[in-house]
Amino acid sequence: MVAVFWKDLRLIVRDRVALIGAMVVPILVISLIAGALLDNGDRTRLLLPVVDEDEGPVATAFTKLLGEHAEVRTVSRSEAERLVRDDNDAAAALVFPIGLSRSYLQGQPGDIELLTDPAQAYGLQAIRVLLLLMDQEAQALADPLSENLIVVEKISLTGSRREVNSFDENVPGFALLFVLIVVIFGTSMALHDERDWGTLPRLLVAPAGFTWMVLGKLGARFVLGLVQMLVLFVWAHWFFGVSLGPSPSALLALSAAMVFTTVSVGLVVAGLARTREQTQPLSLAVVMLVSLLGGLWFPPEFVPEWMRDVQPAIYTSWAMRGMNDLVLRDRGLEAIQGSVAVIFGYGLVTLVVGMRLFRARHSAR
Amino acid sequence: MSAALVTKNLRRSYDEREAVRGISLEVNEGEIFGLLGPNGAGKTTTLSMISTRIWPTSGDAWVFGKHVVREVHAARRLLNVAPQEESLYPDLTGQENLEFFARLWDVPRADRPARVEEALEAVELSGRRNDFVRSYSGGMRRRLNLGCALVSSPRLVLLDEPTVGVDPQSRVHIFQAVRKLREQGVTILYTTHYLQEAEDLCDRIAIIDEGQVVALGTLAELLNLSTATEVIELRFAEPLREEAALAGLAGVQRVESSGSLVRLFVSHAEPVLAAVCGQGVVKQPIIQVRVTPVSLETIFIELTGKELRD
Repeated sequence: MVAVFWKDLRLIVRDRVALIGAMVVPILVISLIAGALLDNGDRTRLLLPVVDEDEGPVATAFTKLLGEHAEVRTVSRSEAERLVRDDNDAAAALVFPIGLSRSYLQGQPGDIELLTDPAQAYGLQAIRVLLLLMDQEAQALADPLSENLIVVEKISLTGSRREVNSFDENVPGFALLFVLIVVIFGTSMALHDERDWGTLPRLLVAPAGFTWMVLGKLGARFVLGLVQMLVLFVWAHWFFGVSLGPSPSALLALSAAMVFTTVSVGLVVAGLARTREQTQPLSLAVVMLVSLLGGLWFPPEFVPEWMRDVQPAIYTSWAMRGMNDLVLRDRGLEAIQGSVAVIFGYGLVTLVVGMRLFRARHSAR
Repeated sequence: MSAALVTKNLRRSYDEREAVRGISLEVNEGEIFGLLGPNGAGKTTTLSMISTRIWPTSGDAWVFGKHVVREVHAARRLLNVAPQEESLYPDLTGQENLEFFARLWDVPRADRPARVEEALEAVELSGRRNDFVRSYSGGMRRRLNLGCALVSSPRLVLLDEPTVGVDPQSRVHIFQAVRKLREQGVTILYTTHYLQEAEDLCDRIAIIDEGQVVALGTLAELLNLSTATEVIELRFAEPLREEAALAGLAGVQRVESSGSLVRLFVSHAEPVLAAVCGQGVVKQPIIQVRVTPVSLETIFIELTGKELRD
């Protein structure tokens, strides 16, 4: 096993372009994605064109209030229609009609027009929330003597951190995704490489035996995957300030369990695929499936209920849960023990299944 | 003389097809034993069972007394195999390939450098030891393939068609390495479909056809199996229509025809040639005549009814 392990490690290290690619590409891609989603206050603000046909104090007050939450641009009606309908730069435009101030100050209801682009559903929702805020704040302005009786104070129940940034939210998921890609493809292809090189028949008659030979190969892939994952986290910590939690051993345990199970999944793929041509699409399908269902792409609150029901059966969801505990909630080893145990157990079962499949496919007994 | 390899009624089936149908052999220690047969005869399957790569459907095999199924690990330590396909890592150097296989066969760390050196010398690749295998020629790769089977100093080496697709120079290197192994007392099981290799290298030969041994012995013993001593080859301008006339001639043991080529297996060629050419037994014009002594090829054709071509 040791001989196969070192031989595979040597082959991995010798292919420097592939090795650097495995380390650098995830860093570049994650930087781009997290940068694109960055939300540290400098995100482009929501554009809200306003058509002020009222030209009275109420419309002016409303425009000022909205300006605290969105990029309000006072424009003509035709310009507003162009921004929404033709350029799709805004999800909606607000029209304060003539006479709004007069009716409002007389305590009579007044209509406000909202010119919308229904295709921009999220933007529209945000503008609706802004209008509610505007209404609330306008009421407060109308009665300046009323006291604010409720003050909201944020208390984090899950950990010491109160604010997280886009990197904290996105790096763990994308790091796991890249480890899935590199490890599953790498493991399954490495096992088929032995067949393509014609070395498998010789390995199969070596005194060490089939099981140790396969474990040696998996060991090399495990080391590569673990190093890749830790490099990604260290990089994210140093360059983007992503928290790695209070316990390095917790991070190591979770990473090791995740990579171990992913290597085992790669063995299952190698066992299922007869040829290299079958290996590639199968690997891709498995990566997509376990990453999507495991919640690596979207937070749980964004996915349908059936997917949330399925998630406990997918080991990557346990990895994400553990990562969120470490990175977003600053929890330690104790908090992730359950997740690590589940992932490791999943890995053991997968390893046994993969070994049987690969043996049936290749040892030709 | 003790037996290096014993097989008893080895059989192997793949689904409905029986690739090996009861092969029994006894290979003596220190001899080069040839398995000669056409492609698909069952040579590689037999070798795979002996090497423990696949299990027999039925029957038994022992390597120096170790059963290949029941004592698989012990048997594996006594043998090594050079598969028919190249079995090398292209991104390792020649020396690194040898070191890896030495380690895989549990060669002690202290002995490894010497074993690797011996293997490199045996296949005459010492000068290219540090070059990546991907830069080797086809012949050099075949030699290294053989070297990897020698690096564990096995007592039994299984060579599966080691010279297929090899240039003449590398073929000579491989022959030299095999003969040197015999001098060192190593037992070699050598499969080939090249008659000349079997004649030149092997102490004993088993002719295999359709998964069965059809003849076994030294070259002399095999040649004695034929009742004929010479073969007359007659080439006609067109396929022969008067085969019966030739078969009826005195001294003709057997007649075989293939297209416009006719072979007469005879006890003495001279009177038969006189009858064919001088007495006009055949009316069709003969364009070529060749007389050869009975060879392994002749025996093979007699026993199997088919030709063995490179």
